[in-house]
Amino acid sequence: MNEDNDLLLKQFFSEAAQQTIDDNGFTERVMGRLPQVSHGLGFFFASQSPIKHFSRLWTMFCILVFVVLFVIFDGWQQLAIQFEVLLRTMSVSSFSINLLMLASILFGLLFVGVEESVSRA
Amino acid sequence: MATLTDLSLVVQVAVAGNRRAFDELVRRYQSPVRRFFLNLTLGDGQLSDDLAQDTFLKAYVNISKFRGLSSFQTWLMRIAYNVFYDYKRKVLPQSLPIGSEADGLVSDYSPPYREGAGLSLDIYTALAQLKPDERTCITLQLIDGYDIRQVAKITGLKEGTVKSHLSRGKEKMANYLKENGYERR
Repeated sequence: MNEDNDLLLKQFFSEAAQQTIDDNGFTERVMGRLPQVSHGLGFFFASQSPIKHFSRLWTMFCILVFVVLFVIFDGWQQLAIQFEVLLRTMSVSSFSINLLMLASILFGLLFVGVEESVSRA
Repeated sequence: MATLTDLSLVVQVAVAGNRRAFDELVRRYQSPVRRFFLNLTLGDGQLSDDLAQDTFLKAYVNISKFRGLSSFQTWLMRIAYNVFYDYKRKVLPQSLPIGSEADGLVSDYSPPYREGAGLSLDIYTALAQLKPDERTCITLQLIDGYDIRQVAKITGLKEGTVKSHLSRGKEKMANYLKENGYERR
């Protein structure tokens, strides 16, 4: 009985199952109504104000400069050397504060803080 | 672009904001989505197109939430289902026909504008015999070709509930067809 019903319904719906609806401008209407949403990297470029836009461009520029300098000055090698020295001297050296290093970190934090304040403005 | 998979198109939209990739996705899936709405609205072409547009707009806004756990089409149909039920919730209090059950279960009205008319026995009149949940399950399985697991995923219902809706819906449909002289050829 159920199998008979299934076959009956399958036959009845077969025409509807093959029905294809022509686009007839539907896609254009949808594309015309798409909201301005920033997906993925688009978020980086789609800022609300010129200040934010400039801030993001400046951040990108700084990142780019960092990457270039890191490659030019063989950053991985420098890091590896520093790490090795750290490991070798860890047991014999006493703890001391490197003022130059501390200033660099503070400057970095200051830059991030200012950038964050500007982007929230 | 025709050879690109749905997933690569979704990635292009989600990562690079590529609107042309989304254009391609709309072209690929406008037909099944609009047909789904046509069946749920019993052939109301204008309403179906409006709901289908809302579906694609929601898909675009939320495309970064697509995790690829199901196919893009299943994900899209899930949005379509939610759009339809949001619409029903909004309009139902005003559009309940006199004498119908509280949740607008059975629709026995004729929609003003019909697409795809001309079948030997009007499919929308037949679908109107069903409760909305039964109609949704029947449409998804018998017309759109989803299996029970996928229907459950799209509707958010348990598989057992989907099976119940399908069983009751099929029985009602078969009885209706037989009563109206539709016989298997």
